[in-house]
Amino acid sequence: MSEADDRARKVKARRQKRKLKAAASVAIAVTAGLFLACQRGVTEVQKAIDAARGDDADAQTSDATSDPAITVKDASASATDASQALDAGRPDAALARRSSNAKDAAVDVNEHRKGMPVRDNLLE
Amino acid sequence: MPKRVLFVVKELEGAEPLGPLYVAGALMQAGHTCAFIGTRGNDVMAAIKRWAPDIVAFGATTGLHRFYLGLAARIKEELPHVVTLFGGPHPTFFPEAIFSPGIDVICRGEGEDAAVELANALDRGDDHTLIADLWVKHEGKVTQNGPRELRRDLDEIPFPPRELLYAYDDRLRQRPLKSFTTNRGCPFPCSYCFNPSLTEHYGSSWKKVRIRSPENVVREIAETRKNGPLQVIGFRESIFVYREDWLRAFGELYRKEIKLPYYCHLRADIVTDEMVELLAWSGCHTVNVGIETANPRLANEVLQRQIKMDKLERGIRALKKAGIVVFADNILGIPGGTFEDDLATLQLNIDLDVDYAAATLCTPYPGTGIAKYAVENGFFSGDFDLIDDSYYTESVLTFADPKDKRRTENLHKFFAVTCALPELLPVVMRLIDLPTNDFYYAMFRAWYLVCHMTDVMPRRPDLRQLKEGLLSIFGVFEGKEENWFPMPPPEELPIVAGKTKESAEAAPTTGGTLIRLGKRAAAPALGIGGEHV
Repeated sequence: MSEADDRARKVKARRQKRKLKAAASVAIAVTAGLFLACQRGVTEVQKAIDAARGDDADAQTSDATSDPAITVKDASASATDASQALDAGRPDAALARRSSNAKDAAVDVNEHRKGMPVRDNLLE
Repeated sequence: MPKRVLFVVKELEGAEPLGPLYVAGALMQAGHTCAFIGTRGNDVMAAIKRWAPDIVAFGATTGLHRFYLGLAARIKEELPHVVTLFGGPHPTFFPEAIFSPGIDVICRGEGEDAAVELANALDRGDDHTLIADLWVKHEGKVTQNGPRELRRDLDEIPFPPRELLYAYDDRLRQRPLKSFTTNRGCPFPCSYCFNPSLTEHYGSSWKKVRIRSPENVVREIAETRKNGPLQVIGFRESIFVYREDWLRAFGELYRKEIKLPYYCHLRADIVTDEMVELLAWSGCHTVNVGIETANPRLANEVLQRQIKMDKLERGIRALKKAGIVVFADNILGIPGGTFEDDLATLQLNIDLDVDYAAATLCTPYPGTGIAKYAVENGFFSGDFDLIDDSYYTESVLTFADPKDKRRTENLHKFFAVTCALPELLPVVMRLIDLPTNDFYYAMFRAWYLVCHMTDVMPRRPDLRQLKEGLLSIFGVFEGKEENWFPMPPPEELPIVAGKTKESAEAAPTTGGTLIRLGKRAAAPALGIGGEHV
């Protein structure tokens, strides 16, 4: 088989696979759309209940979507320590973000509506 | 004593912030200390206080500028001694951002040399107001300096110090995809892009593309690979290659030392058959080309692309024939166009068998030709604060029929997946009449993720990366953005002339010109540039 034929075969196979993957994406999107609609539903019902009770709706509903409180690291970590850590090529304790923690994950509809998956952001 | 410079980057989780990293590299070479922090899931004010910087630097695109201007104001309120430096596309093309109360210095254009001069001047206690490329607020007035000569030899610029990102979050090291650039500048005048505005700032020297040597590019990639996993490379300059001899020399080195699939940007109308063969031979897996619109009038009169559609189509077909994945950029909702034009653009992508048909909603960034056109023809108010930080949400332009606006915005969400699966088109034509909802966004995200992971930038994500990606389709993210502070209204300050490009000397003070920066300050009218490809 010539190189041109081989390339043509690859392009054709890729097209077929792309269709299958696109169909799978539609299924994922339908599931995600339903999930997000239910999330919104829960929030709106909670708001309505809070409004009926006369509570502060914003304060109550934010619990449904927000993260646990941000852990503020020890403010006593000195600037000198930080620069020494950087110089040594180690992670900078004064700057390092919170470690990965499943509890930190939460629905953020605003972020979702900005478009692409955050860590795969190549187009911006 | 060397200065401590902290770079605050919103969306650090995305592609590497190469601009700020280059600036940090130059500062470190000059002996200053730099660090980076992200904002999501991070208490930025607490982190700034802990690290105790002398300078806090931000690089902003329009849309994100609101976040940074609010944060800068808070920083100056709590830490008045800290100098805030604002660079990147937004202040480059809208330098009036200096009148925002939190900003001390704005940098226009390439920032490496200006930032070093600023840090050195602050370090020595010298006058820091007369530095080319900077507008400086000091003692109640703003000094406005002209542009500097561009560095012609890019090989002299230090490699971006990516270790600063990894020091903040080691997960950034683990990303299998990393970004690089091989050149700066662009000779084309496209009205939706930042390049013509940089030509306005730097003069015609911006059009003369400055290209790194293949040896220098390959050495940077090899060094990056030593410090973390690397499976696919993204070249992110406007146009990856102009000359076949450069590509041949690059390919020989790249195949020998790197041998990884890469992604790059090209104009399909300028690729030759030989170039296409060299791209495939050197390891190019995906080429990002701009189709933008199927309507030649919009392409050449409104978007100013100077393009022949038959050449564009021929180039894309040649890339496909060579087995290269084609990722096409398209713009929907172009002022002066119609919804039928957008459908024709979709059909052209389908006909060309594009692998991923990316679409953005036409956005009039400050200083771009498209912003000028939109304002002059009544499609846009000129209020750049209305621009969102993503061009994937809603259009800021005025449509003759509000129904068309909704249909265009919805078509945008379905554009890529419909190109991959044209059988969806009859359903999509019905769905786009409904109000925009989370399913539409989920569709956009799902296909983006699946197609990128498997076709555009094929890689083997680890379980955590895969989980993160999938959860993001469901709107689930780790860490919340809790650093939004209100953007204060601009101050009224006198401006004085500083260095001009011609003399490179301080010009005499013009005295007392008062600029009012209102929301309607339209950059095109002031002859100031724009942004974004």
